Amino acid sequence: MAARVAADAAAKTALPVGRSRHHYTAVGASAGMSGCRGGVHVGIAGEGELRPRLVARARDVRFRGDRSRMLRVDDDALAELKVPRAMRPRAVEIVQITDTFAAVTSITGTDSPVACSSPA
Amino acid sequence: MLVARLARKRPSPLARGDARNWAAGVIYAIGQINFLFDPAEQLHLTTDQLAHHLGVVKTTMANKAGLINKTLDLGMDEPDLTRAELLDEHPMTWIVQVNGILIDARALPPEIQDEARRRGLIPDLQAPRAA
Repeated sequence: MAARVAADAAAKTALPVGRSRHHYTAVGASAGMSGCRGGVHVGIAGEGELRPRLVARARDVRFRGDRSRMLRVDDDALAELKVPRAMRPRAVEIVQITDTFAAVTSITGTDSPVACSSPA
Repeated sequence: MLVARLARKRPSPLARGDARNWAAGVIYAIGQINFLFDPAEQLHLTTDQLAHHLGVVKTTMANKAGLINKTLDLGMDEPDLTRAELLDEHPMTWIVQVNGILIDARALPPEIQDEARRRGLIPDLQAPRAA
């Protein structure tokens, strides 16, 4: 209960997107990552931030903070998921949109190892 | 995972319509399952914000998500589409029936848990996951 109250209070103090002191993108730039794309101001790096975010790594999309392993959307992964060959381009197209969305958008997150700082 | 399930449908609903709307519907549907729109959750976002970020109309996005939910008969208990963090706390995910008695699978011996995992009765939190 106390944690919930604290979380609510902290959420109220979170600054709106684009008006904070520190901004960062949702895509990591460390080794093996696809790099920061767009440089869109997406969130704040303050103690009050509790909003999670989707993060994208290459073609992976996940909620920030979700540490589970993910599939990459390549032909092998699609075959493993039994996606019909005719539908694969369409499936990739849709996943790429979600990936792009995640790459430039803050919807969540506090502690992702793939987030990179990007001063405004 | 969700896109793959839609793509496997015959005929697949993904074959028609704007890909952006489908992507929005997929994110919305997964967001619903993961309580993304619940402000009481640590991870949350309003539907207006989501629609704005995706560049789609909110009602279109919600309609696509509704169609996805209906097509795939999605409910709130979808281990494949739930974040591991939530899955760990979801009580219904771990309930198994042993000789007619409902038991939390996490309380069972490891070898029985492994068998339950192998049979797909309980989720494997280490398994690969994707949208």
